[in-house]
Amino acid sequence: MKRILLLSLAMFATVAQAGSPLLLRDAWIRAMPPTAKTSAAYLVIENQGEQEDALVGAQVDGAEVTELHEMAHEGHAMTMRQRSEIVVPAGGVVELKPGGLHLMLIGLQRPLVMGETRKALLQFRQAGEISVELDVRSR
Amino acid sequence: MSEPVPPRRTLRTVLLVLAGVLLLSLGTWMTVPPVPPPQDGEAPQPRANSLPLVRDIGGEFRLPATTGRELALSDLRGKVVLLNFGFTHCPDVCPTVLMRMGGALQELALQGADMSRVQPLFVTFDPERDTLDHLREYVAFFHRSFIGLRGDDEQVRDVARQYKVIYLRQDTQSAAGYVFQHSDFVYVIDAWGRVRLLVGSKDPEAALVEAVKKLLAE
Repeated sequence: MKRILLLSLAMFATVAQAGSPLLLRDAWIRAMPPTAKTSAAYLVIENQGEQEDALVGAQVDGAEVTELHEMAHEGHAMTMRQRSEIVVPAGGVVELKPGGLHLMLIGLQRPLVMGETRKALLQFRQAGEISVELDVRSR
Repeated sequence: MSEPVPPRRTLRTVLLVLAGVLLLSLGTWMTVPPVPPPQDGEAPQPRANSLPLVRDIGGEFRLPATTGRELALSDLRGKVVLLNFGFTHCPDVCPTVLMRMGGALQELALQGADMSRVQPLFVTFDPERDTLDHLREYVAFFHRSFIGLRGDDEQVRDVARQYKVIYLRQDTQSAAGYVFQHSDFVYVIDAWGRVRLLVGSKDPEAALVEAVKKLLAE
């Protein structure tokens, strides 16, 4: 029992840094045609702590710039807004997903190949920097 | 007044014509699929159990295409067309929709649909950044049968107006430069070039599959 607990703690540590109440999961980047200069990355951020946190920046390996964006329906059209932060409420879950909040990768330096993984560094206001592995997949 | 034709020559002509007709019909019988795709003639009214016509949206267009030639919608008579508009620098919405279209095409192929009668199209409203070469490689990623279309600003505006596509260039502070605010429907067009359904991002992918199957069966 103790071993299982230790094991699960070890697994937990791979997605959240020690001591951080943030749990990052289902992180992925959309595979794109080799000619594409942009893509988007998505993940679920769970805040198990009692303090509000916010994603304030990100850097994905192989992209010149990574920005926080949000898609929103405006009338019959989709519009994109850049966000300076994405708040994760205490005890709350924020889902970055297609058609909504996403990390926008600009200036891809090499193609995103299906099946590979990319490292990303996410900056949170409270938790600081957390590194995460993103799977490259089609959807 | 023409000379009367000798009876023996008439008989020979009749026999030759008969043989020709027989050969032709044999050839036709062997090569034409059981339900020939509609090519000419009056477009029929949709049956009650099929998709209704979408009024006041759609129509003929002709644009330079990634095939290396101009492509008109009327060139695709007999095929069910899936039409979408966007731009290749679009990070989220366009690839999501194109992926859905590609997924629907794969599913149709799995279900044994006649894929030679299904044609996906993608029209860019960003001719400034989307060259035909760039567009060709981009759309092929989502499905090999995709054709990309690129017109100048005026051509694109005209097609967008016909299909009631909203698109608005937004200059942003983002490193991505300008983007477009735009509608993201997939237009499902029948074998006579008529819009029959608009599939939005909230609709399931199966809606595309089912619509194409219905139109292929007409």
